[in-house]
Amino acid sequence: MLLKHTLEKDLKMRMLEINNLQVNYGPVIAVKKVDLFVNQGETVVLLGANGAGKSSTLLSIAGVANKLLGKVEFSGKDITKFSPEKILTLGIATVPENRDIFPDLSVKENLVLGGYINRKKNNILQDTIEEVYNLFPILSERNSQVAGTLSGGEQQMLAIGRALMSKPKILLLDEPSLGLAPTIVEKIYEHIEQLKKNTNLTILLVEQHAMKALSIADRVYFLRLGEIVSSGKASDLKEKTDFKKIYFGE
Amino acid sequence: MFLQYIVDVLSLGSLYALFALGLVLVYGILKLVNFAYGELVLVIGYSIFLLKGSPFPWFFMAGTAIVMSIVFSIFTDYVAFRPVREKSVTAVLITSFAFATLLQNAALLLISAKPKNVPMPSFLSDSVQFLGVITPVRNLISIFVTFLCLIIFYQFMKRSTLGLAMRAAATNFNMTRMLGIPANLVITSAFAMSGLLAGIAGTLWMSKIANVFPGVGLEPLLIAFIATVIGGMRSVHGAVLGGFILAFIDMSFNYLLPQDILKFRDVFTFSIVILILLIRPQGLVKGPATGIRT
Repeated sequence: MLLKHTLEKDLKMRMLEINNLQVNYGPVIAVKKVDLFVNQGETVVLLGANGAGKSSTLLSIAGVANKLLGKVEFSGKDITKFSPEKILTLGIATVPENRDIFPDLSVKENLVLGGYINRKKNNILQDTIEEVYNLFPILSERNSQVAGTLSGGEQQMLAIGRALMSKPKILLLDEPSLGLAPTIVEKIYEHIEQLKKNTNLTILLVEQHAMKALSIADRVYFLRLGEIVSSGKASDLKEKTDFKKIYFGE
Repeated sequence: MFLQYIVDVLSLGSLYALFALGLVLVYGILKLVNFAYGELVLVIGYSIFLLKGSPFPWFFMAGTAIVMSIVFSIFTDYVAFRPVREKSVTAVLITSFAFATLLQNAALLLISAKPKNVPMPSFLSDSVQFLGVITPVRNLISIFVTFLCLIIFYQFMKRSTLGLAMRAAATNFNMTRMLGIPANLVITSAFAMSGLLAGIAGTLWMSKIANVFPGVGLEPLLIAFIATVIGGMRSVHGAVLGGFILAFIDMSFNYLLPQDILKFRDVFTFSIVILILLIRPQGLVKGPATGIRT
């Protein structure tokens, strides 16, 4: 009876759940078998080496990678076959690897497009832009600058800010540390922590930079060659885990 | 004489630029060339031709023809692009040519192989004279209409959310979709605007050649394609610039070449085009940082 009760409570909190996911690019299988879940308010990290299938997992949740097998559920709803635009509307926003900001548009225009689903509600759009500028004051200074001329760190902030414009329930964040200097990575993570504190946003984070990611995570999954090899609480794993094994194999 | 030359280049170039802009709009987003694009001029021509003798004023006929051009452009997407878009570039190449051939043969079968006269208001052919320049009214209208279209177009792409979304989609289509911007909305808008631009340019083109025949679309398609290739296939500025450059080359040969060689003008024009491409294979204007579809 007690077990049933906790189970139900668990289900209620569950935001994102992936079962038996398999992703391919033509003949290449990028993700072999991934099962994971993210609860409301959690920060979950997906760790693994280059080519482990982290980004593919994220992109398949976002609806742009080809899912061969498996099921993706969001708040209990099967979204496996949904289009990327539909998935965003449900409250799943993505910051892809390489950030993919629109280099020819200004910072403001990038943000406006991020808030596309709120385009008719002018006051919400303006307020959200203000919120993003509060979180990343540098973007406010760069407001009318063409996004392609921003520094790497600023582009990362813009990509995160753009994703926040849709007021998501969960943020899929792909390697925010990629290609950035250590001090900038530090700053980006400070911003992410602040964001968590301010909004209690649920985050699914993909990283190669394990220590940094573990510092803000609640739970961790390790991905190797397209499969989840272990998982657990971040606080436990931080000391115990043999990272060498995860990244370089036995 | 010099001013005459400028007016001639500008009036021809404005038509070329509009044609090129319409083609590059769709290419920019789908990274696919719409080879049925020239058939929009066929649609324009036959629409006005079929409305001949109706009690409506000419401007109404032209307006209807432009609407038909938009409708057919969107129709091209549904018939030739949408079913095979995800497959391969070759598939779309074939389907868009097939759709073009279908329209040409429909015209051949249902109307006639012979050129049909397209009615045009007579004032378009009246000559005006100013500062030593003698030119038909339609040339001045072409220049005026084109610049008006370009201003509206650029403002739309800069100020409206849909315009921004289209520019974003031209750089990174998947990312645009991940922001909740519907792919089909962007694509349909691109085809509709392509049809509008081709419709306006096609009407101006008809006022020049004044007749329509099943193969009428080939020349505008070739013009648009070459202009975008010169200017850079990924940039709307490039397409406009390419249109004016192509007109400049064409018109210069018109002035320079002796009468008996003039009929081989295209040989000279294409030689220059090849030269430009040898020096700048990517076109003159660099487009947004975007990948080429594979």
